[in-house]
Amino acid sequence: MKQIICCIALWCVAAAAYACDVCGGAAGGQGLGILPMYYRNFAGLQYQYRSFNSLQEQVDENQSPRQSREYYNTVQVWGRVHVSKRVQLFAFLPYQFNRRSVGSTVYNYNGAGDVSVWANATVLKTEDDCDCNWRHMLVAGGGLKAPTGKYASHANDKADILNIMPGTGTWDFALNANYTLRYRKAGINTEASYTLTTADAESYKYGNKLTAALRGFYALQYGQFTILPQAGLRSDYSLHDYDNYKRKWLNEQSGGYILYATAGAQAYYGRVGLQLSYNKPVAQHYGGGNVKALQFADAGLFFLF
Amino acid sequence: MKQHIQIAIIAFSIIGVLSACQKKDDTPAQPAKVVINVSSPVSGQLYRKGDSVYINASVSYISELHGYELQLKNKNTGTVLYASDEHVHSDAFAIKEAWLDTLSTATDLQLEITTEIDHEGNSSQAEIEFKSQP
Repeated sequence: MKQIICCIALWCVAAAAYACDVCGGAAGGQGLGILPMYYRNFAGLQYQYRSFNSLQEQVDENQSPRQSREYYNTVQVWGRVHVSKRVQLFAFLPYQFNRRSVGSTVYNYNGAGDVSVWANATVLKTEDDCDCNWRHMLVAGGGLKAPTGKYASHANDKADILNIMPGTGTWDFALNANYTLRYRKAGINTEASYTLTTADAESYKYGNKLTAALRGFYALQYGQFTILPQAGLRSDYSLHDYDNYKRKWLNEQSGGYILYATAGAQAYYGRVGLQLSYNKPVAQHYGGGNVKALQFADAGLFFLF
Repeated sequence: MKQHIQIAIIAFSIIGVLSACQKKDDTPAQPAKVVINVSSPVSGQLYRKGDSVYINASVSYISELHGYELQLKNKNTGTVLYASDEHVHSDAFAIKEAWLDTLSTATDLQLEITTEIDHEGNSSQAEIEFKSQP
């Protein structure tokens, strides 16, 4: 039973790496996934891949838009420590390998991403010693993203490059509420996370983001080996960006929503866990319809201690 | 249970407020207030084959501009000899470009700079005429 709980915890927290600290153009929101009765610290390494097709309108609207494709690759070191029985801290240290191709021209933007720190507190929880078939847990908290990532000035235009740079140049704050309900080995998790963005030094402000998800999971145990398949839906919604927040220059060609169908699994053995997931956009309207999410997948390895 | 419902209502209310309508600058498009100062080339200036024609201009406006298009044309035939465009989201910016004069016949040239005020087709234009003499 402990292994199953552990496994669920790992898989759930793995969802935290869905965080996309760079793709303002990708409606990248932040979520913590399912957070059941986890009780151990861990450190992990995760890889995340996202791709998009973009149509960049020409200055003259009568001309055909330019087409580009963006690839976001994130390698992230992350982990969790308990600071008390009810409070856990998470830290995320990403490194980005981003690429944009326009025709035969390829632009690479590599570098450290923005560091995030999260704190979650357990608000409701079925007692550990309860011999219950039904168990639930409500966790709420928040986080802070610091502008530590590689970031370039965009004072002389280059708004195009904002979404592809490894860092955002902004301090962002997040609120998160997360509920997990389990019946024996099966369960559902639902969560909502809201990211409050601030403006960068040049007054550009990404739109605030809302991420919501609903997932079902089932724990299969074979001796010490546990597999946790999961499937569900995830939605990312983003408000419009501001080209200049002080002057309220709203960029109405930014923001929008992407709805993903998600499927994945986590395998867990001893103190090691492996997590894989794939997300397929099933509905979207982003960047005024000019940005299309294509692929979103991630894989992670975790070590408990 | 009542407490949980209250928490949920408060949470959704907070999200609703945070996601409410966004404030924006509603300044109406006023093309007449776009100022385009072209410092080079100067009207009537004569260039020779092999010269670089430096195109320098400053643009300003009372609110956000969205970019500019630039075309250097043969005034008589309308043939475009050089063109460029750039998205610029600012109320003031500079244009610095260059074109190498390779013309082998005397040509009347026209430089057109069009600034885009918004994405609804509002724009403002400046023109400069000059000559190329091989």
